[in-house]
Amino acid sequence: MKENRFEKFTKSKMFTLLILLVLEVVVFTIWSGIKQGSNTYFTFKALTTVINTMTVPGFLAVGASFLMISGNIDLSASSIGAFAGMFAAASIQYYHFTWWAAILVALVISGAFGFFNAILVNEFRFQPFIATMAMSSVVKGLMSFVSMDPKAAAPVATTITLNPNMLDWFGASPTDALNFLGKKVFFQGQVIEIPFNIILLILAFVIYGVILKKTKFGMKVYLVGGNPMAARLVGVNPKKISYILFTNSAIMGGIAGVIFTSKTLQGSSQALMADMFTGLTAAMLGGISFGGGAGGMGGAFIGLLITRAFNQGMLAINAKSFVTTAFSGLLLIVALTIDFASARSTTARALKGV
Amino acid sequence: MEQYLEFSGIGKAFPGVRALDDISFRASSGSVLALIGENGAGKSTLLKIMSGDLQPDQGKMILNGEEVTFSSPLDAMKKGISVIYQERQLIPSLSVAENIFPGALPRNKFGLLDKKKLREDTKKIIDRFGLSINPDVPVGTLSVAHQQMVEIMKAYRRHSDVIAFDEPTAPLTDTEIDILFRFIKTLKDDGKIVLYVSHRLAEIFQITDEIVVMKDGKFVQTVRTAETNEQEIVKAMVGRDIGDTYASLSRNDKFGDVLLDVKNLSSPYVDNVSFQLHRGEIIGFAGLVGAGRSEVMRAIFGADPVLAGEFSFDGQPADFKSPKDAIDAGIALCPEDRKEQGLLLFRSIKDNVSAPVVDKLSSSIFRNPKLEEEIAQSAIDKFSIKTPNSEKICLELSGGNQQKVILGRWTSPLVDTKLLILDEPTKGIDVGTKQEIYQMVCDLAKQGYGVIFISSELTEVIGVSDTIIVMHNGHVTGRTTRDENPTEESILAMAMLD
Ligand SMILES: Nc1ncnc2c1ncn2[C@@H]1O[C@H](COP(=O)(O)OP(=O)(O)OP(=O)(O)O)[C@@H](O)[C@H]1O
Ligand SMILES: [Mg+2]
Repeated sequence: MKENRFEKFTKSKMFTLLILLVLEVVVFTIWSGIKQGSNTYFTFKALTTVINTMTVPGFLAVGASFLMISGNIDLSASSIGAFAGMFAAASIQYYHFTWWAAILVALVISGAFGFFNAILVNEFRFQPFIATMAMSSVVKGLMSFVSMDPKAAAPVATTITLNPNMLDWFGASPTDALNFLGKKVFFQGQVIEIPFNIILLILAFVIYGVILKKTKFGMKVYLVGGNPMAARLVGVNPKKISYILFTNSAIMGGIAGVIFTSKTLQGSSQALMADMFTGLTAAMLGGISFGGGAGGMGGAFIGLLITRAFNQGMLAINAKSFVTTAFSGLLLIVALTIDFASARSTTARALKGV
Repeated sequence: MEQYLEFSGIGKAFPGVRALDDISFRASSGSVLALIGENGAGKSTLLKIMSGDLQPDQGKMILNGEEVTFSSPLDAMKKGISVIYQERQLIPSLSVAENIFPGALPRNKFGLLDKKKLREDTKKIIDRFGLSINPDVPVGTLSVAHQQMVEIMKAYRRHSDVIAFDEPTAPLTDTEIDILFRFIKTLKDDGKIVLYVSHRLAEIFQITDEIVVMKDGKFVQTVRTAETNEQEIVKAMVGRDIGDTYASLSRNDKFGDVLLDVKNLSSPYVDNVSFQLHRGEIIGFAGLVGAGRSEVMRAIFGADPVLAGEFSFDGQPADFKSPKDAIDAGIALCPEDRKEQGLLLFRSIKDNVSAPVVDKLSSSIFRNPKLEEEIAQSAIDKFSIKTPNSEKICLELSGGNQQKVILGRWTSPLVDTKLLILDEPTKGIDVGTKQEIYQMVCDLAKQGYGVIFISSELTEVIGVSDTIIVMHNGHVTGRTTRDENPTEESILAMAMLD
């Protein structure tokens, strides 16, 4: 019973996800057409927005995906990201760091937060949920310190606005660096410039996808997520993997935060607020199991597209913001239901399978 | 009127496998019917169809003259069929009584749970089976055997007409098996239809009245147990004579120097254990379930902390902080619980076999798919694992074949082992393959491996080991060697010592 590659692909989860994405686009196109009199969804402008808003939740999704495959979760990545963004802005604005030094230090600090998460989970045996939620709060508190302007009278700031061109290398606006890396693509007869950060994001998905599927480390991530006890007995060190992945998740959060700052030229305590949610939804929609051991980066990427296309769709049909929020929650519920349903049927089978 | 369950032309296919092909036979009330066949023959699949867990592709089931179909296990249960699997399906935190009466808890006149009545009703059932279990304790605190009894009582309480067992004795000790058999006898006397799946032929001859043999998903024959013998049955099952299992083993008779020297080892679960294992020697560990045999091995393997005492391995004092250290030093451990500690159920055979050697298969950071495929294929060939290819996820293998994957994992040529610890290695393995495993163990000994063989089947421990160590309650309570011609009785006596 050999099936060819195409047949195999049509039976894969990836295929289902792609169909889902296409369906979503079709539905919103028609819906927006009915509601607005003309198609406001499947347009050049909307595509630009989708792409421009993908990077921040995208990086969070990368970190979250790896952790979730290993059977863990990190709810603090977005707060760590906001901190990193704020830190980068403050160090440039108040202490005159060069942009790359600012980014580097921000990421190192992010990594340290992640490492601390790992200590809480591995050494103090906190539930990852609790540990990272507490961490999230701690980080938000520390953010106020960082944002203080040493020379101002009322030092605590919720935003730091940067001088343009300070972070332009990372940014979304067409600058020299972008012209060098930004590719020009034709779409509906117009030219769209792809910002550098999107290239970084795609690179991250590809690299992490390869790590997961092709490297020894990736295999161990799956083993630990699938059955930590069995993994330990075949010589894998689940602790080590957990340390690496918590640190990684925080660094990914840091990158997302720095990109946010470079795009908005702002360090903001409100940054990345909704993005953790989107990142996790994307990962789960993409088939990454809450229980660990299953899923891949390809799925997570399509999951990301689905969530972004969804948000854009809500804009296109002119939905009120609370409706959008409610429906985003619904999307997460759908993702969780898919995950639980498949987990339940498989564990049920595992329990009974003799 | 005699009651019966009839299978008529049952067929079931999975991708790449024809699990059942035109199965027809009848099971009657007041008799116990054995279902036997090699690993992957389709026994469990048939039971899953019976329990409504799977739907047949072809054929039908007839219960007392009426065709029945089951949409789900609950549906099958309502229609009088209970299947008891090896893995418990009880809720550990609930009491025995609550587990026996799920969904049927007695209410008092205020609509609240009638605890008194619940306890009394449960007590009645427990007494019917002659047990001494407290109805109020959480099921999770009971022994594996008693948990199984609770499941049987649950089926009994439902007034099931048909009760099927899938390899029920694997986790039980000999005394517990006696209790189980008494249970089965009670069910039989009450006029139930009982189906019994097991790879242990001795049991089959002890308690069944009729035997149905299956091979590769097909029905081979039905015979009355009283009119046949082990040889005939094995031949029908395997397709060839296998002779006397233990006498035909070609053993190693030259031991080398001491490979493992354990002195007064204590861990959280065992106390003051000492023994020596030589290269080329097979030491069997006997004892009741819970005697602490697996726990000794876990301590040696670096999986549990060593609290006191010491051991040396391969001439070096050993202090393994984690299983990885032990593996690197040359110890392999096939754990007893294949689902909890052994397999990665959702990964392929290939991933499972190559898991411990993934670092050795390539020198870069990348995996080596070609070598992985090679060692997976060699494990599949060596243990005749029944699968279309090495990509199949282990969840979809039959129980015995899952066990073979673990054996294949630790005997692959790339695992650089000096000491192989096998904890219940033949759990769920069919007779033909069992013999191959015994021979493989002897061959490894000949090559100079040290082997530790833990089993709750005494005949097996006696038949395979050069030295036997008996444990009870975390202590070593006896030892004997092949030259002393140990018997099941003599070992059992040592296993009961304190
Ligand atoms: N869910 C499934 N998906 C795919 N194949 C399956 C599935 N369940 C069982 N099979 C295949 O069906 C065949 C019969 O399996 P089954 O579990 O019925 O064997 P068995 O007789 O119980 O063997 P054992 O003695 O090892 O328990 C095997 O080849 C197995 O791989
Ligand atoms: Mg089976």
